[in-house]
Amino acid sequence: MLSCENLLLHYPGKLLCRDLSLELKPGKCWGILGQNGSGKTTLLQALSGLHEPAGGSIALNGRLLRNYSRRQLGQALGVLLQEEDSWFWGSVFEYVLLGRHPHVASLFGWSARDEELAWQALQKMELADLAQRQMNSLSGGERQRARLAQLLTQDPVYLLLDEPLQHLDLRHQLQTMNLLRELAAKRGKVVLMVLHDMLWVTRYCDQVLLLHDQGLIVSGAAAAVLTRENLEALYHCGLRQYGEGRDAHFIPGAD
Amino acid sequence: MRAFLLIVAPLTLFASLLYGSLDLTAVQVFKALLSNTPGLERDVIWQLRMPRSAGAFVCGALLALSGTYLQVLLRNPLADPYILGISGGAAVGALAAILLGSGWGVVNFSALLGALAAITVVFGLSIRAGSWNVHRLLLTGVVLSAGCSALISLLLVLAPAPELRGMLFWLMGDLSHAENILPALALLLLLAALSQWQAGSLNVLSLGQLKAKTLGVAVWPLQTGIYFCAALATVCAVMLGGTIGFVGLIIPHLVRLLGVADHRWLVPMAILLGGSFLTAADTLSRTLWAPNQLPVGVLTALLGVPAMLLLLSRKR
Repeated sequence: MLSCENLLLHYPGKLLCRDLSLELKPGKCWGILGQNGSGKTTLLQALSGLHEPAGGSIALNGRLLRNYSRRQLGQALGVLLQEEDSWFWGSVFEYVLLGRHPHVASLFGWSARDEELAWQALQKMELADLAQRQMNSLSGGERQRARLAQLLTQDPVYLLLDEPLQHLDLRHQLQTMNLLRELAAKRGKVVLMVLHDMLWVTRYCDQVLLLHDQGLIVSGAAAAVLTRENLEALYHCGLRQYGEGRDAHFIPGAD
Repeated sequence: MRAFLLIVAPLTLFASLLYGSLDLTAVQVFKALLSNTPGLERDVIWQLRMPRSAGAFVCGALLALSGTYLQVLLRNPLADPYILGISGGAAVGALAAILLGSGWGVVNFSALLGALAAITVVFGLSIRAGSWNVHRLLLTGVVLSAGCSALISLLLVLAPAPELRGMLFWLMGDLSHAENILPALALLLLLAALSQWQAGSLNVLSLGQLKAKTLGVAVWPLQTGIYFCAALATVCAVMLGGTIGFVGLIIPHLVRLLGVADHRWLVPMAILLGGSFLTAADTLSRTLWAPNQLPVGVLTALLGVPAMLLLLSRKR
């Protein structure tokens, strides 16, 4: 289980998160919502061991994150960064295969099992036809699907995703969200994702974190937290609500 | 392509043994290579041409290896072994020693001291709080190189005419003093083995530091290792042949343009092509205008520029 206690996160001159305690249990989908610059990415990176918190502790299965090697973390935690350099030296298949890096002794190259996992991931992301194309020749959406395929190939228990739906068309957004929910529900994975579209959060997330100003974080079950009042306070704008529960829609621009 | 490079390396080495001031046929070279009885051919091959060819091969291989490392570390296609001021430091040391009329042993030692000083300064200024700042590393290296260039110009202006030619040859690359190559060869083999062991991590590091961390690479130790391996390879190459330009920049690109970009293949191919390329350039430099020698650095550029331009123009 990935957990944090009394987490304190700073960015130069800004408090992003204070006193956050969380337990990310298997089988759940978490959504993170907040304004631009509210610390969503920093929180995600802290939980992945990429950003050292200013206070508090983060532990994986009861052991502090900093006591794991990078390789061990790479086996357990998969991270989809918000941005990644677009240049890559090889094909889509070679790119996706790099997801196996934490699991293999690189001296001996990839095993048949590694390649099989990469193919499965490419098929799930509808990229099998593009497998031999140069990564640099892909469109933005195809590239995003390749990055997701690499993450699936990495096969971590915890998937920490920073805007997984960016650049994706509507059908691929739906497929991706269905896939992530299935990974949580059927394979016991934990999915934690930064999202901007509340539609996906209300429909697909079990738990939600709202990152307010001054480091205040509201967390709880999606049904309890995703209320019009909470979201208006979060985004500082008026909202109209249509429907209830999983079917709730929030449209900006209320009187 | 990989098979081609495997054949090209021994062919180039053999050609370098074949051509020189004494005309020998391929059969004579073979006989001299295998013969145990003393004779003119055997002495020419084993005592004159072989050390020089082997020196050129190892020097070229080290430069290509260093260039490959630095292009990964700095994630910059313009990176070459000299970008971090290592050669500048070595050149200042060597030229100062030549100016003072020292023998080659002292010149080499002085070059080593200059290179180590440059490595230490760049490393010391580039590290902040246990992490590499690649931009700072690049800038520090470029600034230090510029400072060294100024000092080199000053030394050249101060040099009396008899020393000037030796200094210019040192600067443009000169393999005629490449004698004891065993330490360099040992380093080359060690670095080749290390690269093969870490090739997967080099592949991942080329995606960027943060991404590499998410894929289980311990980025800080790997980058530190790459820096010092590149520095060692450069120092060793400079000790062998002065500052031979172009090999470290162009060879990794040539190998990539030939379609090999995975570091598990890129590194060994760069070693083979770099070694072959410099051996060929050196053979030309000592035979084209015999008995005079051309600076090998001029030949590496004259051969490398058209090859690179041709491949670039063919690539989509």
